[in-house]
Amino acid sequence: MDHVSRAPTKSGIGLPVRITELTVEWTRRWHRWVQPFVNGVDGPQADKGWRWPWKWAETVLIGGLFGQQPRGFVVGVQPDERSFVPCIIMSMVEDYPYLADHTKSSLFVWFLSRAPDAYLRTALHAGDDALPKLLMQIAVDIAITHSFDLGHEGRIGLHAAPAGEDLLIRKYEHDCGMVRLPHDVALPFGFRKVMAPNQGRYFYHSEDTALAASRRLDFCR
Amino acid sequence: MSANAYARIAERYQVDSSDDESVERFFLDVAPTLSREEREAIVAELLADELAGRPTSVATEVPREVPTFSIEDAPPIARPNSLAQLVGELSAAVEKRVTGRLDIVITRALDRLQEQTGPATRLRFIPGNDAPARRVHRIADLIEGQTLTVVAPGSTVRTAAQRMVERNIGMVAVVEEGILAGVFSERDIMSRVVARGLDPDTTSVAAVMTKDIVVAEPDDNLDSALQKMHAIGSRHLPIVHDGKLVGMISIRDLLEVDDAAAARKSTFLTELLTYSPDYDT
Repeated sequence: MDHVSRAPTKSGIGLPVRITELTVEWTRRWHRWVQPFVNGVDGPQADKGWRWPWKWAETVLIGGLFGQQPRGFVVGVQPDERSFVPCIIMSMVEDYPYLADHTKSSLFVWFLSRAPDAYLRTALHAGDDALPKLLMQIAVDIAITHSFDLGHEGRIGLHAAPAGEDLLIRKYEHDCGMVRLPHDVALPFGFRKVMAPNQGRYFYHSEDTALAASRRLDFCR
Repeated sequence: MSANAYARIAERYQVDSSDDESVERFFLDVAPTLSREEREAIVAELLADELAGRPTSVATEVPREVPTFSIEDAPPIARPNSLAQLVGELSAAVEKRVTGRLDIVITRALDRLQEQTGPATRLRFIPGNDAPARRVHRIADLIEGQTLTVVAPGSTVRTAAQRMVERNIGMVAVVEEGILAGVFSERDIMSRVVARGLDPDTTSVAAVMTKDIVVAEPDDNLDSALQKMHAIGSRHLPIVHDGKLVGMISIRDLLEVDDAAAARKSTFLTELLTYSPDYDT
């Protein structure tokens, strides 16, 4: 399966999408130029106040704890052939117990941010009609595609930070088609010390829901 | 008290928490070298802060202008789209015992390879089974939900044979009060009943069954089971826990496991399946 190659806009003109490896340098760029816009968003926002260089370091630390491969992507759009505007930053570990069946492996997304529209308007020098849309869905789709690349059959998991309140839950459940892990399901043994308790904010994609979700973005591939 | 867990932790390790880059260097360079207990404690502390919604950076003024980055700052990620990458990925999958839709990976890689090399020869990979792969490492995973087919020692050979035909299996376990007493296979019917001219309606299974049984435990891994089958030249292996029969696995079961390690042994399995009788006595 190919990654998403363009992001839709209201105007109907898709913007080319480019995915690059997350580096310390990119976390610094995000913190310097995008994070101030995130911090300025009105209302609940899970990543408000995040410092991405440290979040990346935390992902590396977590990955090292379990001998897993930490990985991160920066996803951006290209308003022209030479330019790159970061829209999504995400870190993950590539081999983590699958939340719905601990005997299987999955990709687990640890931290995920999308650039606010205010940043995109400034960076793209564009109005609302020309801004890339469906960025959360694209972020989750990139995780799904990467899960297929890793042989995890599309299985992914993540935890919606409490600071994102119900808005974030709606995004993952309704917009991204993810399955909410029931709060009475145990988290993988041996990992619980470093996982948030299961208070109904864990989400996952099974093989089937991942495929269904990715099909909805086939028009962007 | 410091504003956030990152700074508190850094201070504990005598890092200047007012210098963001020092904290960053500590977490990237020093923290990963600490003991496992220390690293777990650090991650747990960071997590507690995050769950409490404590910010790790102070709000700064929103810039009026932001730079546009060059695509040279953003080289595209590498994906498995060449034969060399495919071989590397498959090797890594075998080493890590990753199971999954390898058929998808292979099909995609072959398509891309042909895009690069031209369509002189059309290669097609046709997966044999589209059902979702099972992650099976231990025998317990393989026998989960299995329905056991057993006969009593006093059952006749005909009854045992009928049971095997009904269930399309090549061996039944002979069980007495839950304890495995022996096994009885197609091979036993041929060599110990038919060849000797015994009457299947009057000969009891106990008289002709194999009593010297090699078994495996549910916690054994598949490789170990395979080695036992190989050693005794059998296509079946009873699974016993605390003396009681809990399952029966066959080479066919192992062949159906989408497991890289099992796939590596497919040649041996096929050979054994084709040529080897059960308990060649």
